Amino acid sequence: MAANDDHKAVLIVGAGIAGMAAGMHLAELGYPVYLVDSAPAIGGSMHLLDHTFPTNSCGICLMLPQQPAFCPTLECERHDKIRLLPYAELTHVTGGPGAFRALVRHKARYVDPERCNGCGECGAVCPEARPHDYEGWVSPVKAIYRPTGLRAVPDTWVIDMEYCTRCGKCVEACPTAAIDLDMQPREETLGAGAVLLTPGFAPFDARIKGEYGYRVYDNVLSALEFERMVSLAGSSVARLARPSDGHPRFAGYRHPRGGAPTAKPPKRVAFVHCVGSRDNLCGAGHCSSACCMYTAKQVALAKKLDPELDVTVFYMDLRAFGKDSEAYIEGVQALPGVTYRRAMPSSVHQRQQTREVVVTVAGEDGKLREEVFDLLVLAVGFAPPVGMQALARDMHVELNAYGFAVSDGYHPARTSQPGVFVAGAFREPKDIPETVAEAAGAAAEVAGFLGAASRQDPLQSGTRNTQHALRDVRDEEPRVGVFVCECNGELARVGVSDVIAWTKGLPGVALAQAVPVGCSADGRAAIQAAIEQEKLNRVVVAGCSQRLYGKEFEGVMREAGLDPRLLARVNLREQVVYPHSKNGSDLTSKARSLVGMAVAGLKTMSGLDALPLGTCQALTRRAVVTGGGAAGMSAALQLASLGIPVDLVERGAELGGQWRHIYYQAASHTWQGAAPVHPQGALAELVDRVRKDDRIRLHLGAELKELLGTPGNYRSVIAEDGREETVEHGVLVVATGGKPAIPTEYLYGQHPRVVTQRKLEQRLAASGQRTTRLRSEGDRQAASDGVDPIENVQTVVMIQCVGSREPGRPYCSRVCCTQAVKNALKLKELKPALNVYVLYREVRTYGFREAIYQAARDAGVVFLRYELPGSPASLTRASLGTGGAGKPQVTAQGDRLRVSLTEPVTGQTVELNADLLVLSAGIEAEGVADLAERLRVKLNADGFFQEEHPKMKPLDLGRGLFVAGLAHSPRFLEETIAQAQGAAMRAAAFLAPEAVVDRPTAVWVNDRLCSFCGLCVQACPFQGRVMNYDRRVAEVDYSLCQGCGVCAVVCPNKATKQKAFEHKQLMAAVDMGLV
Amino acid sequence: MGKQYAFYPGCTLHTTGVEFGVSTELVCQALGLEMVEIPDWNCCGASSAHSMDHTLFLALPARNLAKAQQVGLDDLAIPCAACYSRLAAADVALREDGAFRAQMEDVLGFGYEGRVRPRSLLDVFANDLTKQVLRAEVVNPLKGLKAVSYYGCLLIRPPKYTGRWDDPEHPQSMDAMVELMGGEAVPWSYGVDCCGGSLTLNRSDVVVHLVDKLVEGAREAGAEAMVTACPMCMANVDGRQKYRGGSPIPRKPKPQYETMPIFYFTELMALAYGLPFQKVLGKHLVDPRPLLGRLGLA
Repeated sequence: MAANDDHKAVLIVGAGIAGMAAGMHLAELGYPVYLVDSAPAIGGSMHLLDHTFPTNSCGICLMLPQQPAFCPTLECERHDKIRLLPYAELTHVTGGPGAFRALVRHKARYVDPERCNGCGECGAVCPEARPHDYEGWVSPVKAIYRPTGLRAVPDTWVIDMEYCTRCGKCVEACPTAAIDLDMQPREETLGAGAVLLTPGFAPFDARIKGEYGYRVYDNVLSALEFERMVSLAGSSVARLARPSDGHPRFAGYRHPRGGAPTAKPPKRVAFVHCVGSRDNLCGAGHCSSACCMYTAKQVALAKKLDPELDVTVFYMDLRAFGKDSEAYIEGVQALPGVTYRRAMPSSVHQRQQTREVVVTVAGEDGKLREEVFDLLVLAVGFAPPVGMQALARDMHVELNAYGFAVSDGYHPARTSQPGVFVAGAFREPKDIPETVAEAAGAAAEVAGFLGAASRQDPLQSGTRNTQHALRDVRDEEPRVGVFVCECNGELARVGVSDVIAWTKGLPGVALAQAVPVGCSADGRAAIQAAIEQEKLNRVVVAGCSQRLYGKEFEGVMREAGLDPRLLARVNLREQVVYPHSKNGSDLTSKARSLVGMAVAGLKTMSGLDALPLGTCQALTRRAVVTGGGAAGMSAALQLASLGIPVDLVERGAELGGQWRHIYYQAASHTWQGAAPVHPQGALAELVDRVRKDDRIRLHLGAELKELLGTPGNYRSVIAEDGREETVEHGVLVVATGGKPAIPTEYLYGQHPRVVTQRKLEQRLAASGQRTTRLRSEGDRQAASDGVDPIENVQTVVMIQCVGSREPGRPYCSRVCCTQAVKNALKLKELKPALNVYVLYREVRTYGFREAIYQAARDAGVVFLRYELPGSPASLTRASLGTGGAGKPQVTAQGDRLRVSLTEPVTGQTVELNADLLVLSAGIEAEGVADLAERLRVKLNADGFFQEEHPKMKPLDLGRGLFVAGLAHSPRFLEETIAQAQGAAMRAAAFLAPEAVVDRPTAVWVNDRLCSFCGLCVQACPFQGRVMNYDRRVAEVDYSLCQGCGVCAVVCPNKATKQKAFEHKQLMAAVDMGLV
Repeated sequence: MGKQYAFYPGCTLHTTGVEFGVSTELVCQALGLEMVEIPDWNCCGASSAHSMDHTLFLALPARNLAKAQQVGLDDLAIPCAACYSRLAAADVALREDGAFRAQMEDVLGFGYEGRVRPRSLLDVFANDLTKQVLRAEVVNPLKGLKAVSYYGCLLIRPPKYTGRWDDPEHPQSMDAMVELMGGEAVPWSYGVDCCGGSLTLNRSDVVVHLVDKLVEGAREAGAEAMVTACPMCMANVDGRQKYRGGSPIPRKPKPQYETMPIFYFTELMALAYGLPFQKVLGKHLVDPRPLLGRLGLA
């Protein structure tokens, strides 16, 4: 990385899912990225999860900007623009925005990554144990250990000096002399224009909540440990077991206190929510936002492992506020044997003989009762990441009372220090989709801050193919060179010399020789020299997987003047040595077969000339954004700042969308010392910026009529003032927003004293001391009629979930609880003597919003719960048998209102005389059905746009189509802005290559043989085959073709051919394999 | 002479908890600790004052702190867990609540110096003395004595008052003491549970229920005895195993109900140190002598 790149470089602290996503997006746009992580291998908390809600799959590769992709850990390792700094810490930052100097301390690993080949001989001889990173002493590892993860990056072993006794056995055992027990930490100074903080979170240390007996009682696990237990990657290999039983997979586990365990699989499992969340006593007053859902997922996984399992979940409020969360958690609650109970255990004991866990909890009759479980799982919350306190102080980044970064409500990625940005759980605890979206948004902010990176020539980009002067080998007789890598002795067992001797006898083989370490610089030089010397025109390298050192061997080919497709890799390690060493198979004959097949295939290869390497299809660097609200404007501005012109299409006559109706924020939206910005002031500023930006063409009162073309080269018809205009663009961001739902019950529209929360907010804004300019005419009118919320009002009653979370609108609208609490606090502020009652089902003030819920209770706002009939059993008298007693009843009492409800805890009826009834009715998507049809994309069951993957691709509707804001799902303003910035980044990254280069293995069509049957069109998973009705040929769209070859397989006439995988090649290889 | 401590015995060490008092005195002598009893001390107010008047509840122990200041020693050793809790609470109130301090200084006629540190006697033994010193005096190891340590509510909680000289939820110092005396500390999970405190008189049904849980827990864990540092816990566990009456809800006597003796930790120390102590063992309501006799310890 050149020094003059420094001011464009981005230093990312934390290589978890947020850091990797942001890093990949920035790298794709051409920014040099340093990715620092304190762990020995990158990946963060993500490695733990091989199942994520709601698909119960991983799919993390989908979040990457260019598809298809490997796992992001591998992609980060492979990317030219990303330098990984694992096992390192940022210790001190000097300089200023645009020119930071960052002091990075590389911790001593004691194993040289250049030499370590991951053989594990050291671990075999190491006599000392250390606890597993995620599973603790349940599954100890050696003091010298391989970082956790199936394919850790880097895959270098590391010594934990806390447990190492420096006995030196590993040093003796290491065949490559990679271990140095005297290795010292090393410091390095890096220059960067911006710093992005994505250090994630630390799981709350459940030992602080001593009453649960974590690490004292054997069978009390943290959610992390349970996650590993139900995961195939965990030590118990997705089997439920009690740690006290010394499960066979818990090798080396010794019971800490002896006892007489009786081995039996757990049958009764309890989960406790909010361990280290919503708990001021242990310094964690915030809600961790993700635990309700991850617990539900773990319950589902546990039930899958053992359908007979009895599961009890103890909770305070179920906060299923995310997209599709409500439906998921209802599904889990409906599983047989699963009981959700609104109660928190008061104490936990352990039976010393049976090691059962005894939980004391209020029973259905209100009395304390003891319940016995085999396992108790603590749903630990998100604590601030370790070490960030000091770093934040050093960098003058303000942290909030909980130890997380304070960010600007209107620019969610910005911290109090210019040039330092934040994303992910360190900004506020959050789940994966929000993190992925926010990381992309933060990357956009960083890119906007740094200005354009040096543009990449798509043909010169390191991840793409480079055009070299390649030798034309078409007319040459095949001369195949076979290089068998000994992989530092690891492949000795295949009988390298036998394989070579046999290979030499194959027709077409000009050279066969062994290389000690093919991937090393020496090895590669030897191969290149041999190619040139022997005039080879086909090369077989037999050694490790082709996923390793791909770039290096391609480089060798190009340097030697050969098309890299003339190289075949044979994997003797994973396909021969690893699987067959222990079962007595004949390794040599299998190795011979594989090498022979590769030779036969290569020898018959032709057709490389059908299309020249590096065909480009230019992408249109222009975007259309539909919707001029918070999401649309933010996305448009962000795209413009990334150098992409935008057509912003707004249905209405005015910009601003729902933002026009927000008059005050729930909590401080900026750091200390900064002047608070009024929401309407912030909106006015944003509108101004949009109007003044000459890269944004504004279409007001306009509509997107039609979307034509292909991803990267769309043509949209925009109708404006009765005219239709066609715009050519590469990407589309859908930000059409939502609208408030209209209540249909509780006398709304029939009684003047029944209003919505929005109306109340307008009235408060109008009548408050801080009189506010009401933006819209509608708001001004609304504010002047109806009941003044302050004058002559004694009691205000608010009802939550009006029409929400019940048939008809089954989802949670996410913002209503906070809005009600915000308005309740405002009422109390304006008139402290006012009685304010909030009738709720669950209070979902997630994240740091929990603080205002607390503040409202402290201010005397009374929260009363109601339950719908048939709701999950909670520990209440009213809910016995039938579930809840139902919704509140509202009756008109002349000019006033009477509200009655059955309070579930006491079972008694509460009667309230209300002067004002305020309804929280939720959010609906607006006008999406037509648009979805025009875009040929799906809506989810709740009527919002369905993203491609709910967790990993939350901003993509399809290739070149992105979504943000209320059109995606209900959300807060700052979340909408972050998401819109993320969508803009996704769009920019999609256009980043400027042109799509066809894959080396792309298909081509022999027009004469094509019978226009269309099977290839159906088969293509990337929509890359198109029927051309003029020529009557099924063509290839090279912007979409990924070179997978599926169409070549289904083509009945063999009209479709895949470069480097021709039929005759494959037949020749198969023939050779059958010999 | 060894280290000096100001000493607050509290009422019970002279009355219902006389075995605690006698054993404490003997053990301190044996360990060479000089306990200087504070002059003219009064009741700490533990069991009843809080239900009458909050100020009185803090004022009673505050007066004792005022008296302790006169002794001139920084560490104030308090054997009884309840007394300790009250004096520690009063000290926190005096330190942190200016108005309360001013009021107390006025009423009691003293100037709060914040120098005297109320400490549990168990804390003093466990943290001021080395294991070697504690073990050195053992002449009669309590071999075979399986005991659970019962810390109760007040000895190490809340940490705001006690300052975490042991883990507030899973304390270990008394277990360590049992092991040092040659006994077997049996792990269990009821060590900080409530015995019912002063409810023993007006709601003995509650206390009987709580004590039953404790004794069952101890037995399930494999213990034959319990150890405590609190006269209230002693009174309840010792008394309510035997005298279960006064209950508004008549309880059926449990079949084969076996009582379990409970000791003050100082009693076990006195036993292990071979001090002339046997005569007060008869004060226990659940007679520990059969158990000790069976183990050849008394």
